[in-house]
Amino acid sequence: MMMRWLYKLPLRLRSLFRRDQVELELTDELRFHLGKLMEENVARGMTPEEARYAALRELGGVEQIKEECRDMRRVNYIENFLQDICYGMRMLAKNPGVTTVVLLSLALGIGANTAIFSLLNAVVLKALPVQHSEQLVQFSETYPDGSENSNLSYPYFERLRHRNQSLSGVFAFTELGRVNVGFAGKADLAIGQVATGGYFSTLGLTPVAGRYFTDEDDKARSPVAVISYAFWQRRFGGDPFIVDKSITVNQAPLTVIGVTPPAFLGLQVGDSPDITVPMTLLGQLTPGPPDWDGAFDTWLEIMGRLKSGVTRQQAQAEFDLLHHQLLTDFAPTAGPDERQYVARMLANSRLNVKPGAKGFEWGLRHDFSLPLQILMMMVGAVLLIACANVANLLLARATARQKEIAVRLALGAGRARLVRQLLTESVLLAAISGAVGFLVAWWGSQLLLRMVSTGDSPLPVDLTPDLRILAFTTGVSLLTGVLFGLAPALRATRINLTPSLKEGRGQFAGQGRRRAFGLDRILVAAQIALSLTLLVGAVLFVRSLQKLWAIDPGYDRNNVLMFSLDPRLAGYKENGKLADLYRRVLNDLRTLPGVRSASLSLVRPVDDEAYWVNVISAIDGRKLPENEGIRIAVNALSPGYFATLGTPMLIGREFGPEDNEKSPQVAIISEILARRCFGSENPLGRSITRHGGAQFRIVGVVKDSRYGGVRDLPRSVLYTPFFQLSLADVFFSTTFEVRYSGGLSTMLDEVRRQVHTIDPTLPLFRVKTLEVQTRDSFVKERLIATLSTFFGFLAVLLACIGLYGTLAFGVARRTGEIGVRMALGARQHDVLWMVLRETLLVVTIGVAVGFPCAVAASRLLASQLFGVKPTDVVALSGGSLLLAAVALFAGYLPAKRASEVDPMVALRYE
Amino acid sequence: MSKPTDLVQGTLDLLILKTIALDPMHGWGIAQRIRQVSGEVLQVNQGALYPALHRLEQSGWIKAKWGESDNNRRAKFYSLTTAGRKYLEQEQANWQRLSAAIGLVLETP
Repeated sequence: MMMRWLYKLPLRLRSLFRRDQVELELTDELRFHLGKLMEENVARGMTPEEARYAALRELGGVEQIKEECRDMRRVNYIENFLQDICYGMRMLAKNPGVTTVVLLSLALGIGANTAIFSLLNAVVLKALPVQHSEQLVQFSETYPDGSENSNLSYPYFERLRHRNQSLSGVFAFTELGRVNVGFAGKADLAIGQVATGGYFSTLGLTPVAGRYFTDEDDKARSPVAVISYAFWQRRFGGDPFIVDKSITVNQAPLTVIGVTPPAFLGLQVGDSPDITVPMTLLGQLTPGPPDWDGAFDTWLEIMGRLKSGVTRQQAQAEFDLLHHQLLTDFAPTAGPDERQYVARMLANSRLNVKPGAKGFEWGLRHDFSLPLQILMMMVGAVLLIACANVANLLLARATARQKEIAVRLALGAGRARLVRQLLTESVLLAAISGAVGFLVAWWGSQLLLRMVSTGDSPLPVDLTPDLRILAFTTGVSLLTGVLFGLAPALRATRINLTPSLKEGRGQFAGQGRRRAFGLDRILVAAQIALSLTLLVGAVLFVRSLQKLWAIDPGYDRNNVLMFSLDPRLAGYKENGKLADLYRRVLNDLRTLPGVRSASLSLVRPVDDEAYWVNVISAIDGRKLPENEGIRIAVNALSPGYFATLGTPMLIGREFGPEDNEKSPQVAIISEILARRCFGSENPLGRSITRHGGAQFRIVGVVKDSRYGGVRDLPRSVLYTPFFQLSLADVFFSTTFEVRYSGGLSTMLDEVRRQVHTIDPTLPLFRVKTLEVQTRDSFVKERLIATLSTFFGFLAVLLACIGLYGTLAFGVARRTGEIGVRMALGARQHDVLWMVLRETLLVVTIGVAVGFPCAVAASRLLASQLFGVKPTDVVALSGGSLLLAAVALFAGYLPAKRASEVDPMVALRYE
Repeated sequence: MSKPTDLVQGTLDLLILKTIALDPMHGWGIAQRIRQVSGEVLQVNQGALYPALHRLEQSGWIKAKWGESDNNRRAKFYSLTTAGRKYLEQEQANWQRLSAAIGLVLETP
């Protein structure tokens, strides 16, 4: 019966768009009928007037017939909906002040929620953009002491690959860090990684251009490379002929064979490799031979894909057995030092098979998962407060419109229709807020990302909102629309008609008093309780950050500029050349004006990239029992390091030019290490031996400092002279530290110029002051402190706006009553007190309820706090007092206004 | 004359459709014709006529055209659509079956 639509569709469209015409026709049609009736009546002998009245009576209610015909038009719903929207817009525009406040607070609430959710999604929730990501698994090893390591050894990987039954594919990968990529004569830095042949096929990626390398390529050591989409765009300008072009990576010639899809950002959130190379090429790209044989030297990360039908639990069971087998196989290869270690491992270690759908779980995801969830809850609370505000404001406005609603009800409007119309208004508000909120979210998440990026470039985290976030914002908007639209709408239409239709405000006053603690007061109290919780949380985080910053790191953070060089990338390969270069840079730096002292080191203070560990196996030649070797951190320094950093030497001396490649190995040890090795005896002149046999004579003891960052406890550190290292074998880049006076940017320019003069092909990177480096090491704490403070204060502001609004409206409603009271003799401060009493009640209840909530919530946050207890007195009392003060101020204003009411005016208003 | 019987909505539809099956007619004409043909028994409720006509039009069974009435006044004339014709046949058959069945029941002693 589709033929009918040929007629139906034009009718519908006409009813929608040519309504006036259609109405006219209906009138004409009925008029014609009336005319005919009149004719009949006249023919029967009535006068024209009588005929007309008789005809009208016969026909019945013309308007009713018209209305029924209109109902038949079947476009009513659309019409009504459009009508509701237009009316809603007009109502909103009528009250620009209220509308703006409501829109802004909602937009901010929705925007903040979406922004945090985008970040949470990108860092914690999003799955890898590969097919069937739920089949991916990642491996890690748990050690007897409970610690977990995501790295495994090459022999282990090889056997795992050959012997497992549960996986359809498995691969290993590891990062290369910074590599020098040369193309068309220019060299530039990029982030590289090596992976075994199964990397791309196991993940199931489709190349955007070219192809990927496979196990065959890996075995054949093909000199090939796969680049990322972003790198392709950035470095090669999206060259369509990139496939088969030649490049050099750390001076090794390779051919680009493929490009990964733009959505693929690597396996670890925040680490996006620009270039991936077959694992077998590792020896050509890094100094020193790779450790293919050390069964217990862990340096690879391994992921795999389960065969279809195999569950992770089944795989775990298989790998539990396999792990034991492999350890048994490897046990004979262990050196004499390692026997006990192996035995312990056999008894009590485990290979974990974890879900890998979202990629590798270490790094950024690990660090930020909990803080982001905490922030999510905070913004959720802010949104609730905003919704409560809006609910109150609309409730108040609905009460003010009671007369209008009563009239409409009396005229025959259905309650359903009215509720629908009021609801449409609210949903409209929510929709507009949602749209604005989405923009706020977009801008906000970019801001967030910048706050979190501490490296040389913004974190490669993909923050484009995907469907989940879109659905989330829409859902939140609609939910708020229904939440705060329904209550006021239902309340407003559930009124007794007669009192409302009568003029005057008297009945409002009566109503106000009977509901002494109505919905609006409860909402405000709840808002106050919530904002107290947020405020206390914010204060706790801020205090944590303060405590972190105040820790004495053992050095002077101010006015120290740091930068790193990696001359290997520019082709310096031999020890001699490297030493000369470093010496030259150091000396030239020292001659610059404004430089008070300069040094270089292998590991920078508060290093965010790596640190170096080892074990002391002998003191004064006397070997320590096998599992009592002293665990140490290691660094290699030039002369002047401690002077530059401002760490005092306790006894002995710093390194000097006499400690070089030809002189005996010396070392400086930290206070704690001195105490551990030698107790209260003088360590100078004594010797210690490091794992591997190297022996050092101690020439100095330095005060303890925080090696890895302020949260690090003072460690046992062994410092050796930089120039006594075999520089060509060193894997890290070198950091120069410069203590300067004067302006930072001038210093920076001079340093760059100086290095450029020495060698223009040497790129500087990781250029930061020590202060910024320290600050960046707290990025998590700073993020959460900044945001929680912002949201805490926002919550307080919104709650106080809510309080103010409710009270102001109450006062406005009771103007008549106040006038009467004053006329009967009440004085100004009596009225003031009367209104203030209400404020006091609401605030007291809010704080009373909020206090235990704040304590409970703070307990949940305990893991993120530093040096501050969850029940910190300052936070709790400070937060409560601050909130109470602001709230009382917000309540004072309407009270003041109430007390200034002129009784004559008020009474006349009635 | 016995009191004119009120017509149920479904039957009104059927009568309207049948009335305009041969000639296009305006609302007034339809009401008149039904009265005449039924021997003054069936008097269409004027309040129900126009909603019924509009409903039938919206459902696509009848179509409308503006034209001139016998006294040169503008009126809206309704006629059957193809689908409407088929619908009429269907409904007519149903009605006949229904009335026959009722008749059978009423005749049994």
